[in-house]
Amino acid sequence: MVRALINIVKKEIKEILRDPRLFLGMILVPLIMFPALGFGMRAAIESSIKQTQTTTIAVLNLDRGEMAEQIFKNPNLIAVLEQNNISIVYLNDHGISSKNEAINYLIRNESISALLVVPENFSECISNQTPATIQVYTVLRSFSFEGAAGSSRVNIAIGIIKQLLANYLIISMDPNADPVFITNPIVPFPVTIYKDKEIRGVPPELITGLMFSQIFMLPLSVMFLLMIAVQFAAISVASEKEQKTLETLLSLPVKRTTILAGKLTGSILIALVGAVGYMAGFGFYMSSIMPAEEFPISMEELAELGLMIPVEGYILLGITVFLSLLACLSMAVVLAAFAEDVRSAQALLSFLFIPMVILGFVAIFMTMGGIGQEFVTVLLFVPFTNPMVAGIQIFNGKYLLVILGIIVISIETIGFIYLAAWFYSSEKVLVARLRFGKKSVERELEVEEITTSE
Amino acid sequence: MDIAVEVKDLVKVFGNIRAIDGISFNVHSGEIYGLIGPNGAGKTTTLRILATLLQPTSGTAKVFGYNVVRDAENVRKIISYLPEEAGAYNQLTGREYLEFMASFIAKNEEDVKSMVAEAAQISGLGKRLSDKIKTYSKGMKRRLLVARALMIKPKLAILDEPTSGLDVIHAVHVRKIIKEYAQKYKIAVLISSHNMLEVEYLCDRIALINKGKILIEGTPSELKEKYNASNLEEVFASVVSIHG
Repeated sequence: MVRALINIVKKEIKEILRDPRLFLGMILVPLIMFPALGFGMRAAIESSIKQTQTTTIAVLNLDRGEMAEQIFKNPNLIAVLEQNNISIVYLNDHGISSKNEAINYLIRNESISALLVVPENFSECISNQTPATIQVYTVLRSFSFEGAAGSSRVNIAIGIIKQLLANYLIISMDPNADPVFITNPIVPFPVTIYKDKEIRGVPPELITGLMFSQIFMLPLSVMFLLMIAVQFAAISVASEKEQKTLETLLSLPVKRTTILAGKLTGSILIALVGAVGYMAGFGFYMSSIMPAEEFPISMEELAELGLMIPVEGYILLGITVFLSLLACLSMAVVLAAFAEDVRSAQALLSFLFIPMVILGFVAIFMTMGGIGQEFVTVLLFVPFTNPMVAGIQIFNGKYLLVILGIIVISIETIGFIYLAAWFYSSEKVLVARLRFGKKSVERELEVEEITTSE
Repeated sequence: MDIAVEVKDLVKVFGNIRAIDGISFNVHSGEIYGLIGPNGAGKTTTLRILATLLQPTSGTAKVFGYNVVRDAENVRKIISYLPEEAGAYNQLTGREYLEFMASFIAKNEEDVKSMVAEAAQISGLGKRLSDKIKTYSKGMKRRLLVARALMIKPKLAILDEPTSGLDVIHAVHVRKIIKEYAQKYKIAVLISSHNMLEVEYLCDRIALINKGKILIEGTPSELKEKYNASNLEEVFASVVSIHG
């Protein structure tokens, strides 16, 4: 039996890997697509960072007083800005004295990121302790990373100017005062309490971000695995019908359950490779567009705090994924046996699985929104959606609920496997056919048309 | 002489269609037995029941004493079934396909090799066995499938239209091989065919089947003599006109 099983698995894998439709469409393209996107994005970001290494900001000083000139020509300011790769072009020194001329200059010179227009009443406002409005002109030249990066550097420059001005004002009021201390009199130290444990030095938004990324990525990878496996299993059966090899296979001295197990194992193995590839590619893509911030505490500490799934959680998750895989594949091979070719099998499956994927996503978003716990719990008892929501429950420490889900889907999985085994042991696997008539609702289960087959 | 196939009052009903309506016949070991009849007569359904793919509605069918329903697994160990519209796995090479099929029957790797060598000889595909099946013509595929059915030297070969899709030269070759194998290895062969020439050349005995019933049974020469016909086509026409 083991030899027969290995033979069937080997044959299944060979067929899938050699079929360009399957290999290209379901394995190679997704494997290449995400990393290629990631490379593209990373290259774009890196090139924009290179281009914005030095940001030049033009300043038009219309101040009737002297304060603005003192600030913008202050060697300290220029030095600090240079440290941040920001240089200033003082337009008044280039014979420009009106706003219109300055705006034209900005438009003509692509190397200038922004124009700061200091108002006529600047000195007056500062002296009266009234905030002065500095207009910041920016030309939106393209929707590129370069534009976004340049804009953030203009904000940095304005921040530095504000700090320097504050220092200047503080010293002018009290020459003995320490402006650095006065502008930063307190240092906030975040302490987040999670499940009665103190997480020191980590603000809650960082933890929420980490949880959300895991809550989202985990079900997504499980869904990929299930979808690919289900597709392969269905194609495996439907292609036997399409190639007219099923009758010969079923007349061989090998148990029907072995044939079934061989098809399921082959599909799971290929799907695992596909899913790992998908997720590796997707992970690479995500890391390319969102470079990971340094997390203030280590992974080990996060696991101890219950912010990462612990080993027992992964074991439970593994069990739910395995059971769901078996249940879904059993459903898929039975459904596919009703189809006459690969295309009809895929269409038939999409009717069943697309609503389930939607349900799964709804559950994830509801959980992220902190609503609909009853709905999420119900999905725990459905084989396809179970592993998608089980991860969330494990995060929330609801192990009993997850175990209850495992018990329920175990029973369902046994039922589905039994149904598939019964179906493949009977003549139904050969004669059952679901025909889609002109009206989609008119479907009838037909027996083989004996008059045309002989 | 051993009874290879024993069919008694066999009935198969699909919905409201009686595909087989109480047929009975025996096939002996080493004998080539032909089921001939028009489309929809019940030939393929009979062969599928004997190949354990379909279950009879009533009646019994036994292969070397094994009941096709109760002892289906034992039946599959001693038969080889070639469906009329059979295909092969397009992504495998001819050799890989034969090795895959042989591995379910062979006891070890040596057996697999000798079966594949046998199949290479029967099919006459030579170096083309190393090519993927998707590159084969319809005739080449059929030769591969016939070779697959015979290479294991089954006790009973069930061949549904074995020369379907073959040109004259290859059809003659395949018929010769079937006859040789049946004699040499004492294989019982149950054939269905439309080709009366083929049936006359190959079969030791034949049964004419129409609308699920066997109308007449005997050796080709007996039947020709009985109906004073020069060939089986004339016999068939006479029998059908008598029985309506």
